[in-house]
Amino acid sequence: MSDIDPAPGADAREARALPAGLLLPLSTIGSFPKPERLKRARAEFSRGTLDADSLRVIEREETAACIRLQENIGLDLLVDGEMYRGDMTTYFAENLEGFRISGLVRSYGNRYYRKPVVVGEVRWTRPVTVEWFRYASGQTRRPVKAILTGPYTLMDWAFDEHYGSRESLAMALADVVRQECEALVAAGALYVQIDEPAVSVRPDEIDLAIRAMHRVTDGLRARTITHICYGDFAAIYPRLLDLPVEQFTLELSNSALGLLDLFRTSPFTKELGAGVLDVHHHAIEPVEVVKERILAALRVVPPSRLYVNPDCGLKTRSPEEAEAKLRNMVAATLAVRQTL
Amino acid sequence: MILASLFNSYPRIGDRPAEQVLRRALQGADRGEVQPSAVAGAEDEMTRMALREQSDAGMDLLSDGQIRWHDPVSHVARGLAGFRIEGLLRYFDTNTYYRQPAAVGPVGRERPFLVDAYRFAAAAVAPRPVKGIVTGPITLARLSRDARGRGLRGLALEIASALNRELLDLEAAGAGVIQVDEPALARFPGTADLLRLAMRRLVAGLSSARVILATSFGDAAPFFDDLAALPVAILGFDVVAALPEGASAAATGLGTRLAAGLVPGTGLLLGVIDGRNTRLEDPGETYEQRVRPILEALRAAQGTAPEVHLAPNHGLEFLPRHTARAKMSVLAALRDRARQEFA
Repeated sequence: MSDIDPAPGADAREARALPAGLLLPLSTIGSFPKPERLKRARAEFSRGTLDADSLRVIEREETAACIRLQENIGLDLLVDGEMYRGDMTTYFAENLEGFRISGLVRSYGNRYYRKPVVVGEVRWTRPVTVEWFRYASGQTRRPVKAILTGPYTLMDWAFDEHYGSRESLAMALADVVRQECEALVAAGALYVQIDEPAVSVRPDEIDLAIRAMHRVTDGLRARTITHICYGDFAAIYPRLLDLPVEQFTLELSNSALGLLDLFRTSPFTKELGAGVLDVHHHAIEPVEVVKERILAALRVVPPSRLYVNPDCGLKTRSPEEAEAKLRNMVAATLAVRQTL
Repeated sequence: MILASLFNSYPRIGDRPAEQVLRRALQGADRGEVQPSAVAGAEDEMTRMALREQSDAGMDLLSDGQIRWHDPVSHVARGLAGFRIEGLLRYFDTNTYYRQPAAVGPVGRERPFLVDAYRFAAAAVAPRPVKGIVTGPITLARLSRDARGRGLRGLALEIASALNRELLDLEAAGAGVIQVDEPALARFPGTADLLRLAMRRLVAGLSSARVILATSFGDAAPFFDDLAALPVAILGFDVVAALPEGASAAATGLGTRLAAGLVPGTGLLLGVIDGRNTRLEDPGETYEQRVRPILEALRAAQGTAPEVHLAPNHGLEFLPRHTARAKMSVLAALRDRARQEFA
């Protein structure tokens, strides 16, 4: 599999940390575009003309290629690229007890997913992402950020036919996500991102989302991050900052940096992973545009608390678009670093 | 008169390859491999399929399923002058998105933008009636970015005047029923005066078309009196949202409240099937909890039950296609029972 030790254990984990003093660390949100051969393989697998082992071989090869790409581009905090995940909720539902998977439902535009249905008590019975985390970590000496979907979003983005209470389901899922986090930490994960895009949807439930996140991150021996995008942030800010994580990776570019104005109303007190690439447009942002976005983010958080990343997962873009966008993001960040 | 009807949208996709023609066409267009006409053809095909499935399920008043709509907000804003379409935002508390329109110039309507789709649907299923559907001015104004700083009131009234021309054209095209969707009302109440003014502008000059004002995404019963005074033929309520889980409209007094406030001659669209959850309603229990108490209260108050459209409380686009079909079967069963008892 690899000649690089996935390195569990506290010391080995710390050895994989981002270099001390590195300013504006470069990362991504989690997903990368699936190459055509992988898309074809996934289609063949769902038609029953390709077996699971053969698909897995391709997923591994493309995960390794994704790691090489991120190193080559010059990212600092890598991700496994999610070559083996179809969707951010369905993938977990398929690997947990208590769910069944429904037919296709529209996500937005021309994107569809098989929405999970909660039909019984949700339970964590075995690690879901750990093997992929180990595999990705084994391909690089740079740190790899583990990416999970958070309990509030898993709850909100499923049909509930069992619990009948959003709170009960969210807290049950929080226990499940916590168990996965612990397994990742045991496997060497130092950075864990728990995505909660649904948090910005129901301002009246922000307290529930915070309670659920406490159950996931309290006492967890990892740097914790959450990703939130495309919602009504004004309705939940600054309460949002009470989500018990150290870093927020947020979509800024699709909303024309409007979030930064919000952060001037009340200081942004956590680390900010600034989204400086719009992942919902084909156009490749020029380096200068990305640079301006980084500088705009630096006006609301100091360099010591700023990370640089795209708005959201890159799976919506073609591999060529994703690479070109990221290369400009790296070039812009390097240019800004020189001025700091 | 008791009818069964969709609320508005219907799934654009299904699990069978034949139900995925639109997705394939749009993917091809995105890659530059197919002409826009192929997308239009796929939209036609999926619209016909949506209409056929409603007919087969016994729906009395059909919807084109909004198959051609990118989302409930930008589709209408694109048809009007004065808007620029911007980034993605979450659509209420769903896990789907809309592209936010920015009102950057005077809002107007230069040419019809819903009429061709209405004509296509009406011709496809004639003589069964199809309702025209448009997102209303309050919701459009609420969910748009007010780039000129006109304020909610100014923008909503401007949109109402522009949409009025579309409603008149829909009526001229033969739409006997036109539904105005105002999901923002229940989410952001407190705009009674503005709503009254906007609705007056919106329906001005209509002569034969009957207008449904449809609320959703929450319980509009608390401000029912404001709605009851509006110049519309039918008021739509999200009964599922108005009733706590397992509660009956009799026990909560919902039926009595609606009956007491309803102006005689006004009908009701009752969202009695949950369009946002796959759990399939039991027809008997749903009838006893959500349908019968309301119809009984209406009959007691008015001597006879008014026109009632039994519907899901949301577009069925939120559901897998096979579940959408099953929900329509439940709806037809509720309609049949209601007719037996109240027609």
